[in-house]
Amino acid sequence: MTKTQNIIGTVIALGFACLLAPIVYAETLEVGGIAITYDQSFETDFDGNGTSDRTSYYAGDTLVFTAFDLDENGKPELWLRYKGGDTVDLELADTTGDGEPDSEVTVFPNEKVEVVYDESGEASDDAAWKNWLFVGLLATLIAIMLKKRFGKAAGGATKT
Amino acid sequence: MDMRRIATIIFLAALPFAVSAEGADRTEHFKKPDIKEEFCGAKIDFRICKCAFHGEYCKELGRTRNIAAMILDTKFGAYVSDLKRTFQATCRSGGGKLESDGTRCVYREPSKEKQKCVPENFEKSWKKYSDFDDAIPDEERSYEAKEHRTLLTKRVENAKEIFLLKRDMEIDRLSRAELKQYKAALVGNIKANLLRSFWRLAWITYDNIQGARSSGGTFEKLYDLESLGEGMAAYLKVVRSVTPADSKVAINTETVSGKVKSVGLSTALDAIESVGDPYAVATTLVSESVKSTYPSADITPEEIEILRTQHVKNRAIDQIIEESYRINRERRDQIIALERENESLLEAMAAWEEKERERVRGNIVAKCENAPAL
Repeated sequence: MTKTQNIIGTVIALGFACLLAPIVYAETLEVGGIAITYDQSFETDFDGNGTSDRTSYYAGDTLVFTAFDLDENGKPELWLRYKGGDTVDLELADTTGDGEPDSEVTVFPNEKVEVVYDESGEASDDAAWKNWLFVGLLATLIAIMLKKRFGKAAGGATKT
Repeated sequence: MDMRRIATIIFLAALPFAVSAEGADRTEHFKKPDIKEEFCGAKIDFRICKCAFHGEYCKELGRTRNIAAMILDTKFGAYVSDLKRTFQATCRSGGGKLESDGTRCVYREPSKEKQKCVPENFEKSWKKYSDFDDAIPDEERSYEAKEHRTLLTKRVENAKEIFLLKRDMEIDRLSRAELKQYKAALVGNIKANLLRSFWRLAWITYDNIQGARSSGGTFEKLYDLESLGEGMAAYLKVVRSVTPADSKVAINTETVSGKVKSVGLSTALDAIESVGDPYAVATTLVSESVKSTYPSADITPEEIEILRTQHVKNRAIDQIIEESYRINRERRDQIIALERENESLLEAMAAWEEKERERVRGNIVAKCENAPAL
């Protein structure tokens, strides 16, 4: 092989490597059943308070997804998916803090939205119902115990 | 148990069923639709129901069973809420009273005895006998009218806030559109387009600052003077010097308060509309920036490269887009919360209106009964 052929071969090999690199290094993130493919991510401290508050995901030079850590506790609560690198078409939010979205919203180009699902109020409603049930049961138990106690005392007084 | 006791018990038990002084009632109940019979397939893709209930068609939908269940729950809940709202509006407009958390409508027919004292068109014209009159000073109104006014004041405040939030959302959306043009011009190295977009964005930003818009800060990051070359910094100063002193964005919502004082709260909600459509206000600002002729600028290719590095390569534009969408989502959540509050206030106001109506009816009947017989 001549030197020129070697150089050409190397350039071709490098070209293939560059083409394959995104596939080799591409990763997938799944949030709320939505899969996002990206090859690099950046953490940003937008408000300059020393703590990262968002992670931006890119496929090449195109912004595809952002995860916002709004309360800066290390877990994202809001995710935005982008079309064309600059237009949000999907929002996911976690209001319960379990790391899983409980609401999904479709965003149209004019920024009108359609709620796909929203269970964000459900947990608190359930909790309230359960609290009342607990209070009711506790009150019933106390009433039964008091009745037994004072019933016994009245029975004893009658006997004497 | 002797017969006298039995008779007393029967008499006491029958009392509630005796014809009351109020007269007969007619009741209508809200009927919740059946999710499988009336909703699945008719109002929503049947596959979501199949996936949620039976785990079928989930792959076709690209959703897990759990998420399909959440989608179904949300959509059905919204459908039932809409039907309930229609039921409640029909009840109120028909003169009925809502009970049992808004699922039962009771139409009370006043007794014939009391009807003869009340004017024939009372149900339609009772307000002219009431204290729902802006001419009556607040301290002289009935308790019911005062409570009603407090709630209406809150509704007006909420409506103003909703207007401002919608206006700000639209300004951000239009600014983002201009930002995309700016980015395309930077990447494509089209100097004229770049300067035009830069000018328009700066115009909007400085108008916002003058209008003291709460979140004018997002787009300001583009104008960090330390990162700009001398030519662009000078261009920016020109923008600042020609942006009009009176902000297009600073809508005088005090005109609403002014109307409240002069003509009263009863027209206050209409006054909100007189301030303008929030989307039109936002568009006016952006179109002003388009109308103003941008000057040429002495900017070198090296300065354009600085802009490209700062704004594109270092992702400043992407960060501004992210933040703008995040803030608009917050605004949207605030609007939803305020609109829900206004719905609750409307229901509470309807309850006070009914109490005022009964108070007025009671006064008319009392005067009529106490009038000396001729």
